[in-house]
Amino acid sequence: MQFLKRRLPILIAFCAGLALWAQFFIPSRFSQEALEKFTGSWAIILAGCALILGLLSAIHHHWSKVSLHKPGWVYSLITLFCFGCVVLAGWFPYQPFNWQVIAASGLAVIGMVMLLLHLLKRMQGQVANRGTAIGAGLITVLGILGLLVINPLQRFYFTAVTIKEGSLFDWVFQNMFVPLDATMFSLLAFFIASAAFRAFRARSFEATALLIAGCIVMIGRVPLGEQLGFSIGGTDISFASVASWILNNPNAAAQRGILLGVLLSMVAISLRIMFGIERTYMGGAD
Amino acid sequence: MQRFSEIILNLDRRIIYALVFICVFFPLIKPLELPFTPTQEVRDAFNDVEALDPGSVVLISCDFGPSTIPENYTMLQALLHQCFGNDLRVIVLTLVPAGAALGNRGLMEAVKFADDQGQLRYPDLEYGVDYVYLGYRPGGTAVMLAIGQSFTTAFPRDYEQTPTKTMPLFKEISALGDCQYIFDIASVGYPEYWVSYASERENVPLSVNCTAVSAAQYYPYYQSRQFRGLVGGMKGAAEYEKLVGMEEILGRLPDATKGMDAQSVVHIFIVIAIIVANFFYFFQERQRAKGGAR
Repeated sequence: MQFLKRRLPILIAFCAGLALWAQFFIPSRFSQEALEKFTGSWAIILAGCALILGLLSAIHHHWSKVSLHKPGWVYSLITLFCFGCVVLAGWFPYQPFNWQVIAASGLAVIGMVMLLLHLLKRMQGQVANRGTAIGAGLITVLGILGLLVINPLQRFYFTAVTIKEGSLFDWVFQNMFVPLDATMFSLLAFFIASAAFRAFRARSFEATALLIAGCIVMIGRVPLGEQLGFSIGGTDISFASVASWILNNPNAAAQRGILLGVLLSMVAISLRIMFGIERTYMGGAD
Repeated sequence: MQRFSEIILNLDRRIIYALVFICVFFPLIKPLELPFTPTQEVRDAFNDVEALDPGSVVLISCDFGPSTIPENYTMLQALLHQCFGNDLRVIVLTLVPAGAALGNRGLMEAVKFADDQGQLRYPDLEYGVDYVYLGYRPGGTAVMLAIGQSFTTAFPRDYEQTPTKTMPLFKEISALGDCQYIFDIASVGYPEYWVSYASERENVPLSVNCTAVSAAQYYPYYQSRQFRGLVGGMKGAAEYEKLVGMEEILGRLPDATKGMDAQSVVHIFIVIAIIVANFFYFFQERQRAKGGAR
């Protein structure tokens, strides 16, 4: 058991790391073909599995929140419900606003809601009617069967990555996900303005330097910054040119230092993983 | 004055939100059309693409989601119009799931772009010959390595599930090394990986369009010429639009350029807010010190 739990993962990590490292320095045909095989299939399949693992983990997290009635469980329930709806939309590549699709997906959604409510009742220890549960299950199955009948089984697979323009998933993405995501991100401007007003104080030398540099870059990186400027010894200097100097000199120098540090750390971490010193990726502390 | 400084420093955040809203709203309704000049970083990217011979292949990676449409999608449009206008062929893909539909929308918008009379701007474009949309594949760096070996192995089918092996473009362009340029349009941290796993490995020049917040961290790559050009944020996209001549192509103010006025006003507002807050902060500190001394 110890071998399977500890030694085998370390052995795999060591061999995979060593093989990819060696491949980079051996540009032979065999090594190129090996890389092609690895990246063309193994690595992409592994990444796909990681994606599924992430999805399952998210579902597990939200479902345990709902079942244990932790604070904010209603939001988790909404998340799970929306997740189910989007999966359905992605699964069935229909045109939206088709009455058959609306009727079938409506049935499926109503069934799912009824099932969720029934499960919640049971979890709360309340008496739940078994007939309602069976009815809800039947309605869900009927809805999904309806969707399958409308769409011939030839396209019965996830189409979330092959969305045709005008399909239901495309409609959900373009009209719900895009505006919602854009709105969330655009709220940042309001929060940043408020946070800058409240927290950006010249309390120390470092804070003052950061504040001055930040203000100059903020003005210099917009068209108005090209019009605004000052004069030193008869030379006109715009905020845009000062901002450009800050970005190209002190900023780039600091970023280069950070980058080198990060990359050296990555080499160190890779070696630690390969030699089994770093074991947190296997779960548990060491 | 003491009372006034307290009011200012404890200003309700909703008032700040309202002021930011006004600063964004009015310039969008009534653009000021402030002039601006493209920076060297953006000109470098533009000139590189401009210098490519007709028929060259540009790989565009749309590694962004809906949250950064004003910064990245506008750039994608300008770049595609430049490529199609210069008879360059494009291969578009994405490494982020949320970018799949956006990449497709962006490409189709440029391909099907028609003037006021309904005349297609690029009527001779043919799918699979002049442009291809590969869509999304999970894996990030693994996908970069995979297309370095073979496009058709990494993407056996395109976004519409058409086999890529049958496409004339991939009979000529088998792997990334056969492309003449890479342009990464990213809101996430992929540009540095494009350097290590694609551009340097396959010796294909790379330019990057990124969000304004991440632009600062990429200057070392630009200075080392690992990024041939760096188009940072909406300002960079607006500069690129200007270089491509998007206003003449679209017959209206392009989106990033339109957003520049709102961004100018909001930036100035934030700087003024910081100065005002600091002025009253120091006034209050001074009053406190005086009170303590007494």
